[in-house]
Amino acid sequence: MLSKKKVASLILASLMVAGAFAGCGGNKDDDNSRGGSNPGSQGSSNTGSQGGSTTHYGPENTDLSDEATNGVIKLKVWGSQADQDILKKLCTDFAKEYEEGKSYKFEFEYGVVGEPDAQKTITGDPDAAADVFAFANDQFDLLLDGGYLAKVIRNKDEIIAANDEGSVASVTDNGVLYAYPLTSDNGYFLYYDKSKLTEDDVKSWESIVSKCDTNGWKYHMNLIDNGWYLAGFFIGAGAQIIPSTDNKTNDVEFGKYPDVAEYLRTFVQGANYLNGDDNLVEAGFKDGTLACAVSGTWAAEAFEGALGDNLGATKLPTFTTTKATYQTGSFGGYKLIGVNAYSKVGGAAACLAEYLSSESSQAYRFEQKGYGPSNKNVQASDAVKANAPLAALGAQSAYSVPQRGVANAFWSASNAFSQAIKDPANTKTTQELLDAYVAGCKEA
Amino acid sequence: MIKSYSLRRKVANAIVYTVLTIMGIIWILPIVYLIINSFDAATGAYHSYIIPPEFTFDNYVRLFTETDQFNYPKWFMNTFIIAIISCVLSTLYVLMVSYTFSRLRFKSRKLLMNISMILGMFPGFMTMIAVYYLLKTIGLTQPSTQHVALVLVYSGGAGLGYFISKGFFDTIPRSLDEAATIDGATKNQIFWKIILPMSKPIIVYTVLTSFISPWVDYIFVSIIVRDQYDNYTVAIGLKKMLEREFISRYWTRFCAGAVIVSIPITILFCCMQKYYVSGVTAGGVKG
Repeated sequence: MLSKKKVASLILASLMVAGAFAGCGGNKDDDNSRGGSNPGSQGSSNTGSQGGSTTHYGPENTDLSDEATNGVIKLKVWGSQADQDILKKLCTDFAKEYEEGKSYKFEFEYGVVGEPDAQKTITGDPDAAADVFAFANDQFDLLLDGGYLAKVIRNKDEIIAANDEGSVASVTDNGVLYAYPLTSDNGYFLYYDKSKLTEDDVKSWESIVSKCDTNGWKYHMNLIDNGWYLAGFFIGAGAQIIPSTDNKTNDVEFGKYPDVAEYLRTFVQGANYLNGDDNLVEAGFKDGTLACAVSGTWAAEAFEGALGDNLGATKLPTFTTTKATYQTGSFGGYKLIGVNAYSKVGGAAACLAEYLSSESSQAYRFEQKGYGPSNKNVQASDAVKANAPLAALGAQSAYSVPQRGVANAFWSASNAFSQAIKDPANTKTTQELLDAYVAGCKEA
Repeated sequence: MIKSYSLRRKVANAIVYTVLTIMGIIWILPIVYLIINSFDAATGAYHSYIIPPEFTFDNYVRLFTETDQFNYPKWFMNTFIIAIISCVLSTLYVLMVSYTFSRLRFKSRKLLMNISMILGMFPGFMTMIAVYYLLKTIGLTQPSTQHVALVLVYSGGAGLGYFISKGFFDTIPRSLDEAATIDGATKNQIFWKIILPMSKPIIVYTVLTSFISPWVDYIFVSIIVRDQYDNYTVAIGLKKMLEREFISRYWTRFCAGAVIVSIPITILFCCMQKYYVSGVTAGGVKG
């Protein structure tokens, strides 16, 4: 009797453990199997579209009536949850404009896939992917390698001329443009509390740190476990991250700048240095313990709610090492609209992508949500110039590099480096830590 | 070394209870934090206080009234319907399989029992990509059929978890079956009319476990539902609220949503609690 009970409890216990693993391991497994299934699924999608009864039209097709089935062109569009209203409005406008005097009608299917998730959702099942989708530029290399992006053919030169260089460069490969620039606002800059710091104070990290130390305020930059921000200091000093050739590892020139590493080590061990996410910053601004923070336009609304008119925004401060004074750099981030290379209605998809990223659409996005345009004309408009966060981002863009070809090894090596320099008990010299960092970026 | 037995026991108890209390507090804190946050009037996901200065019921109201960005009521109904149907199906599967293994004697019964026991030990998400492509091949990943796919996924493998209820059925005397057989009952009739009415605890236990897994599942929903916003369940929808653009404004509503999710399970559990315990223990004992 007893033994049966024991067996039962053992089974129950192991079930619960299995359940716990199911909870923790889920995501990892998820990613792996997706990555693994990538090439195979691609192949199947290829045969799928060839085997289908409808012909496959590429983005070069100009006679859209060929693409209509029974007078209807069906387009699937992905956008983030926050943008669904904008997307629906713009698509309806697009249909009105392009249907006029034509024999076909457009039908739209909307899917909620945010810019950060586009790549992994497409590779998961390319057949079910959208014809037109928004994505962030850090996924460009993976999307390109997988062959998911159709080339931009029609009006290519006009599109390149209309949008800022960074956004165009972020999706150009060997002179071919692969996506339509949509926003230029996915980078970071400095937010500060005007009641605590003056415009002069925020010009350099040294003046910020000394004023904060005197008054017991905190200053924030999310450097620990976050290579995206950490790299800003090295980029500012002039170090390059050589684009990855294998999508796994990177060569970095950080080793040339031991002074920057030394500066960072002192910086993150500062008594009033605060590391954390936007929620922490919002709370800090609200209760007045925080003087400044590094974040992006996505947090503008929350920070404004916390500080009101006292919220200031500007480019990142300079920093002075033992060798020189540098301007803190940053990664420039862009959002783009891509056309699925497997789309059966490539011509219509290309038209829609062009429309969604046009000058008027970008202006509309800015009006509705405050998204920073990549279109030069919209950038030059008075309304955009008056927007403090976007102006700060614009000022910072002179010191930013597009995030191209930065591979996984770089992020994990950055995490390790940040943990090492944060720890006051770490006895290794900064040079040793920096060498390990550079070596880590090359390790797959 | 303490000589007195009663003192030794007291000391031991004191240590045990302290450890248990600390563990209990650590375990319950996140839940308390969640509930407190769901009543917080301020926005933002992090505060320097623990007890908010101002309480409100607004987060709950707005969760159900402001549905243009996040349609919580719809997710809730989706989840509820999927969970109920999968619960009924899997309960039936589990009980039928258990009855078969407990009462019927056929070749390779032992082998099948062992195989299904081992298969049941693998976590289900292991096969999710294969499952997705299978479902896609038979056309069940279309927006209109995704919920059917989810029900199938949740209930399909349920029979593998037969061992607890088989253990329970083993405790019901076989002479009852024999008596029923003499009276002319078929195996099927015995299951429905003799065994099931006597198995309330194990039915309740099976209902509870098979309701909870689809109710809280995230992995399969995210694989199958993908970009179809209207088909979201609570788990995947609530996760959306925590994205970078939303977290500041929606954090308190996320907490409210999470609290509401726990209500059906709590009610179900409270109603069936006494059976649950006897179900688990009885399943393991051969009488």
